[in-house]
Amino acid sequence: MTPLRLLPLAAAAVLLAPGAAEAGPADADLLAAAKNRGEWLIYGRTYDNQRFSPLTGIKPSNVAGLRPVWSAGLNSLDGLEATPVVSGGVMYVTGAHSHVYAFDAVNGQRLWHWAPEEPEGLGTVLCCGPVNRGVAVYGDLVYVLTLDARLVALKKDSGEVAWEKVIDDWKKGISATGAPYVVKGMVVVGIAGGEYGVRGYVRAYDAKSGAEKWTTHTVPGPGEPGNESWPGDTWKTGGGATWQSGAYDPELDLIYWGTGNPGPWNSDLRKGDNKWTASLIAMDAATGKIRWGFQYTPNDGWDYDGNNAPILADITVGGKKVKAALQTNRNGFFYVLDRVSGKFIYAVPTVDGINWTTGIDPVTGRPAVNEKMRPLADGKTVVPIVPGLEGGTNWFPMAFNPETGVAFVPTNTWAMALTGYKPEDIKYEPGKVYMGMDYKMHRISETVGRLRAFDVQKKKWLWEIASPLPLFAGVLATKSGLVFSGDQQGFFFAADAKTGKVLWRYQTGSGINASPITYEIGGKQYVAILSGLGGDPSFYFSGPKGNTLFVFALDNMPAAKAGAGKFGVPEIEGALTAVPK
Amino acid sequence: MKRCVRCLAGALALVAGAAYPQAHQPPKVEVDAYQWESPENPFSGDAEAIAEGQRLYRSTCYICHADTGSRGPNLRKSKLKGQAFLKVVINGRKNTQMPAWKGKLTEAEMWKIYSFIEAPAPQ
Repeated sequence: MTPLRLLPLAAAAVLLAPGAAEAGPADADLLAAAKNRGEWLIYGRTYDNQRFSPLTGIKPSNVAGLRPVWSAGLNSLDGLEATPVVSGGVMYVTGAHSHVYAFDAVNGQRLWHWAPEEPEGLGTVLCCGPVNRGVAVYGDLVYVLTLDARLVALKKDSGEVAWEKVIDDWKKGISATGAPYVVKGMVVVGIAGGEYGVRGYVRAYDAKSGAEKWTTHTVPGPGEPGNESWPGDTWKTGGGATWQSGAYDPELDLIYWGTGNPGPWNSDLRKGDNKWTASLIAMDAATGKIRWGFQYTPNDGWDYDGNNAPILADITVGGKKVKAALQTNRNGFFYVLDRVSGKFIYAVPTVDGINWTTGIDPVTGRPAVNEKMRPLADGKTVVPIVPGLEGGTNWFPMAFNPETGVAFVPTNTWAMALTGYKPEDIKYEPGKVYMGMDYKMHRISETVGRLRAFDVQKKKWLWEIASPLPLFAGVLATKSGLVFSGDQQGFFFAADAKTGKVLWRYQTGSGINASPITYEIGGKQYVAILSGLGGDPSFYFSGPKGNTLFVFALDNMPAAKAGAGKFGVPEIEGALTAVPK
Repeated sequence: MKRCVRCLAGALALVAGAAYPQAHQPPKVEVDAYQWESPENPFSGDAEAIAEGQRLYRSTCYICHADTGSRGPNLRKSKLKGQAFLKVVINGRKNTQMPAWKGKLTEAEMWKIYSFIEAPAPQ
């Protein structure tokens, strides 16, 4: 595809770009990301996804002084869901439609912008808007997944395409919206399409050449363990999409990846557990072989995707030290698993009124299904099912403070009605919706959203911040004792991690559906967030659209060593070209 | 007062024009070269076509428009009738998430969907 509108003056801009001369992060840098105070190198900041920053410049006592330092308009008003990455003084971030931007992280100057061409009709296979959750940066390349299911490697200093690989045929309903995940010289990617009858997989490419290294299907084929949990050929269109990112434990050398709902939604058409949909799988990094799986929702009939990547944390539960994987799930529970073996440790409800299950087995973690709340392929409506399909939480990542053992969990309490179509009305056609159900989300109280703090070692909820609208923003925690997140009314806020008291907020003008980051350059700490309603929240309520990246600091003057102090030649996209010589 | 506002708007448009030279070019004329197989709904009121339209609606439109509107508007209340409705289905709507269905649905399938949303809503 065309490397875009690459700026006529790109060469000049590149010369001035901060970090241009420096190599991007190598394996050792990614492994040591926790100790790297200033940068934000990985989607979840560190391989363990804790989204916990050791920075302390912005703290409860001074956060009230936080002011916008710079902002940037991104391409379209279609919803922003990305987590920016900051490396070598440059912020790499995606907008809607898989656009990628590089900014001087101090003064906001745009260094380059890459816009993929989109094939006609692509919108017909996007369940949830033309969203993207971010990039991966490794060596000299920036990786992005496109909506038409390509993995594209861009040169980090210019935005030019180094190489690209077609992951799959988008016309079959396979798209890609997650942030690529770099592990040991590989770019690991997942696909979307759980509502289109795809068969999910995780795939690893060589980060330098783009050569395929391995592919692991989440739904096992004939002869593979777990295939017996699918009747007949139902595994072929069984879903288990992999539309988010993973987590990595370098000691165990395991990559963890969450999987989505089975297809179609009517669970009686695929009786059995339907492994490994709505699950967490742990794969050997070198081969992709599934070491273990834990299924949150066997034979899911409610669209309870299990895609959220776990937070990896070493905690003490009941006096025992545990290498844990923490996951908050669409099905309304917060899970603690042993990440070495996949063994269930405990689960607690994150929302009130859960009725699809009567409880979770304390030993195995298997839910006892309330069959009255299971919609079937019979044309009948089941209502109200709690939580609704958008979940007790959704894709937006929680944060975890490893020093206090507290997780900060965005939750939503709501319900749904599901009406399963009759079998004769459900037909798989490539590229067409294969849900088999009508759905409707419902409010059940004045308050839908709650950002809740949970002590994972004491199994105790500590506080919550209520929001009338559902929450769809990720969370950032800092060592200084702050928690940052946003809401659908457009407020980006900072709360005291101990009490939940909101200490500062800023109206960004549109709903926040992205995840905040923080970084430090020249001794000055910044906080960044994207604001732009879109994606799933736009199914349920209207509000002003937006397309803005905001960056905040404790005063609104760029640091003395601004990037480092060079604003360079501005980029001009359009027809205003230089006079021909 | 109104006039002055208009003058100001005109001046601003000129300034904007200077930055975006394409503004000086004549506006593009959208030629609708689409050749209709059927200029009117050939299935209006046909129960079989309405049932097929419902099936198609579920596998294409429902995810955004649901029963009474969701991310996309409630199509049963659409002011667009006949060809005007189909034109949006065929071409999509620019700057929105409504994609072009040309090539993915036949015109007959689009008319069946139209027949379904024109018919009384199923109870």
